[in-house]
Amino acid sequence: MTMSEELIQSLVAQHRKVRPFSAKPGLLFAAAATSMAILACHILYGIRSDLLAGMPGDDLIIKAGLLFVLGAAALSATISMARPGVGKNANGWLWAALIAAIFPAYALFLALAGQFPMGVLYASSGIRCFVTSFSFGISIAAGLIIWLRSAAPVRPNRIGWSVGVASGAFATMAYSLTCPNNGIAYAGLWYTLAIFSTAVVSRITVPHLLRW
Amino acid sequence: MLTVLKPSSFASPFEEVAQSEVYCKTNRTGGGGAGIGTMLAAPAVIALLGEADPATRIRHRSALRQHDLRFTQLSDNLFRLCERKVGQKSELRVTKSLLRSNKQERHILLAECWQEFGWEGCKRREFMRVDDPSIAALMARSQQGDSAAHEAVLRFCLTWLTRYFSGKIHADHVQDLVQETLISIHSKSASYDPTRPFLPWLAAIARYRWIDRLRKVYRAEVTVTEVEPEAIDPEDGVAASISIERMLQMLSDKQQAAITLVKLQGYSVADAAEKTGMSESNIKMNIMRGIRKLSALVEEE
Repeated sequence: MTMSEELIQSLVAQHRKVRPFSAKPGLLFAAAATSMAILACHILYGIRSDLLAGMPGDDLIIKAGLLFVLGAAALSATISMARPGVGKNANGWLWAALIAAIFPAYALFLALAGQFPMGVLYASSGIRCFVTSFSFGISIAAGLIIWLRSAAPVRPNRIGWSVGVASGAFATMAYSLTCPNNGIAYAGLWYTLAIFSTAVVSRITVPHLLRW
Repeated sequence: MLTVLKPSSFASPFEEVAQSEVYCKTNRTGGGGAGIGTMLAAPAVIALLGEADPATRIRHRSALRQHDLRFTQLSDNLFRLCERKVGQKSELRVTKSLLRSNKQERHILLAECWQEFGWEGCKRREFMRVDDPSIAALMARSQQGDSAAHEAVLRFCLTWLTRYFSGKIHADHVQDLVQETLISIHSKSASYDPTRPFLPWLAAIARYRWIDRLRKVYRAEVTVTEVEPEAIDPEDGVAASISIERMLQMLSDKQQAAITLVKLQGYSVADAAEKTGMSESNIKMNIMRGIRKLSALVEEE
């Protein structure tokens, strides 16, 4: 009996029923975890007055909406990359990231032009924004990684980025609903920092955790 | 007397089952002893299939349509299974019954045949080729805990992978790589989506394991061999689009040369540098960058 024949026999002997990998648990977890993060932020920092009045400001809608789209696009890419398959295109989220990059690009432009509002840099809410968003982001990423353990990503580095961006975007969106600062420069600095930090941690850890 | 022709334009639903290129017509309506069995047992007759002149083909095609006597070249095993399934004894009736069955039923039938007789048992006829929906149906059964289906999938993968990797890694590593990939297929079978084609899934896993193996291959372990080009049917667009060759073509010429010489053919970095005119550090850098790029291209067509 050849080695391949022996291997096949042994694999068949170990064969059990498997549940095909499904996107649903990941989507449900992301939705539940984001909802929990929104609730926690409101409990910790209170509800914004414009939200209480039922008239959220345009800037809030745009920021939260953009972060949600970025998170959804990155999560969609994660789901696509979780299953191997030649011929798939899971790069759509990069366009969403490009749109979201308007905030940091604007902040950078202000900094280069010497017009960056320095108050944003030293705002006490900035550190709070970063710590809260980063913490929730890492928690969401941890849950997604557990869900992805039964997957078989063949691009571990890329899925590391997409998991981190999705988690960071959802967590930052949750925080943005209670954020006292409405400025684009503020979002460009602190929101970007939170999402980028989550993505970097995810990029470093996910390939090791999902290696197969 | 047996009349045979090779009309590639026939839109027979049987093409979906056996991917047969051969249709035959007997001059007797019942088929009988000069039917499929006899034809399959006579390779010399099959060899004549491509010889018929266009006028003869047209005449036979017309006769075939007129009498609706379409036969396809089937493996004996597959035919026996078909016979049992449709409960008919005559070849003609079996064929007609199968033609009436829907596409999915035919795929399942072929899958069952593989399961019962093994891949080699069904593949005996040279025209018999795998089709993706049938192996996908087997894989879906495997996920449901069907061990026979799982074995049939693994056997199919063994044959497919051996061909896929042939010439794309040093010969000393092919068997190890095939076995590693089989283990991955077994352990990650849950990641296959039964609603999607099977071969792109298999090819992505194969490429992933291949890149992993490229990183581990060192000159000291192997002897130099010239690599044969991958045997791909030029008309088979799917096979070409998921091939390793396609991925290698996306590298720069220098990266391609460095990886082919050092990782695939087993040359030392110094020898590869001499052959290509690049410096040794350039060879190493091109290998490193090339493998990194291959990792990013693993799912690209």
